[in-house]
Parts: sequence; C-alpha cells; structure tokens
Amino acid sequence: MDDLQHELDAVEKRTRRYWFQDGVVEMSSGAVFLVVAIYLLIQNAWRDTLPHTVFNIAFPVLIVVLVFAGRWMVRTVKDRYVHPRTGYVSFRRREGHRWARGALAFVIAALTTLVISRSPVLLNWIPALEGLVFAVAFFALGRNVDILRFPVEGLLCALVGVALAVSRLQEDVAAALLFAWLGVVLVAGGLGAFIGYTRQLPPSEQE
Amino acid sequence: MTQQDQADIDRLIHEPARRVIMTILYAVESADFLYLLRETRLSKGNLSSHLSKLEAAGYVAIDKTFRGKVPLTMCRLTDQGRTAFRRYREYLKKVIAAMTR
Repeated sequence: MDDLQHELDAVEKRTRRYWFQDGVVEMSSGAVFLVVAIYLLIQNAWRDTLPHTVFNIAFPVLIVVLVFAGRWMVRTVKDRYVHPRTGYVSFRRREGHRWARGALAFVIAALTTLVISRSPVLLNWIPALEGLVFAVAFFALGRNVDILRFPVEGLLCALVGVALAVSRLQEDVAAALLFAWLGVVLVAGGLGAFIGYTRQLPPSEQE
Repeated sequence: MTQQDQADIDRLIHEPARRVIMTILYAVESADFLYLLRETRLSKGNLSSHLSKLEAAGYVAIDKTFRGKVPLTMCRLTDQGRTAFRRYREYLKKVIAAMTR
C-alpha cells in the first residue's frame, strides 16, 4: 500500500517535471534576464541624463513586453519541437499559490527595504541577497520537480551574488551583472537540456 | 488489505494502468493521447480501451481538437473523476495509516 502511494507521488512529480525538463522555459527566462541586464547596463551608462529617466519610465513596459515575448517563445518552441515528440499537456493554474507567492515576495521586498533604509551599509549586500533569493527559488523548484540542474543553477547564482557584493560595484551595475549571469546560466542550462531532449527523443508518428 | 477494504476501493481506478492515467490527469488540466501513451507505456489499443472505460464511467472526457493544424486527442478528468480520484487517494492514505498503527 505504501508502495502504491509512492508510485502515485512519483507519477505526479514526473508529470509536473514535464513542463521544465526540455529546458525551453529556462532558455526563455534566461533570454528575458539577459535583455533586462543589457537594458540596465545601457541605462546606467546614461546616468543623470534625460535618456536615463526615459529608461526608468519605460522599464515596466519592457517587463510586460518581455513576459509576453517569453510566453510566446515557450509556446512556439514547445509546439514545434517538444509536443510532436512527447505530447501536449495543458497544466492547471494554481491561483491560490500564485497569490501566496506574490504576497511572500511583497513581504520580503518590504522587509528588505525597511532593513536597508535603517542601515545603508547593507546596500552593498543586495546582490548577495538577490543571488540568495534566486538560489532558494531554484532549490525549491528543483526539489518540487526533481530536476538536479536547478539547484546547481541556484548555487551558481548565489556564489556570483556574493562575489558581486564583495567586489563593491555600484548597485545598478552589480544588479545588471547578476541578471546577466543568471541569464547566461539559464540559457546555457536550458539549451543543454533542450539539445539532449530533442536528440534523445525523435518526433513521434501521428497518433 | 482486508476484504472490507477491497470492497470499498474504487476498482475502476485501482487497476494499475488506469491508476496511472488518473494520476497524470489529476495533476494537469488535460493531456493528449501521445503524452499518455509515452507515460503509461501502454499500446495504443490498450490505452484506448482503458480511456473508454474511464469515459464510460464519467471519470474522463475526451475531446478531438486541433492545435494549429495538428489534430489532438485531449483527455481530461471530469469533476466526477476528480472527486473519485481524490476519494481514492484519501482512502489509500487511511488504509496506510491503519496498517502502520
């Protein structure tokens, strides 16, 4: 009976893993982080000028555009390369969990702002904190879907976050470099997984 | 498992292949025939037969649709199927708890 329970848990976990195992979501997220990093670096190069202000105002628009572009990329690549090989799955949206995660992110952001405003010395440690947040998220995801490369990617982010904090770079530049690193790690990890996946699994004949 | 346990368990779900199909469909909104075929490792005929039984019981709904120009046979749990599977899992947990007590 206990075996049966484990079998059902394993099948459920494998089903959840399907969304991530081909690496497409990572590649898409990595590309988004790379664009954000480039944007922040360009913005920083025009510090104290009019374009800097324009970049600031346009940032939320960029994020919205990137979210839609990322979703389009995932859908297009999966439809072309993944679904013909291993089938199409429509996943359930967990609205409750989404709100809970949003609320948790808000609380963490608010606490961080509060702590930093009271002790500006901690401003230098923001990259380390960001790296740590990414690492925790990747560890949790890796555990949830049983994919080993996620914790490795998280660890790489945490290490670079600490290195950037220690290097005492200007905060905007450090954030941009962390995002760039995260983008590179995700694109490389995702691409490796994607190549392995498509090589291992030839396109299936029509049902 | 006692005779009473066996009498109480949903035999339609308890069959190994159908149990896997139900577990997969419980975790998602819907899945196509190809995905179920790969995950269950059943033959096409076998999978069709199990899906037909689950459909006849009102646990699974099967829709023929298109994604772009690609024809898809999408399978999903009905509300009845979702409730039945939830009850099945709760029942399993109860039996395991009773056995370990």
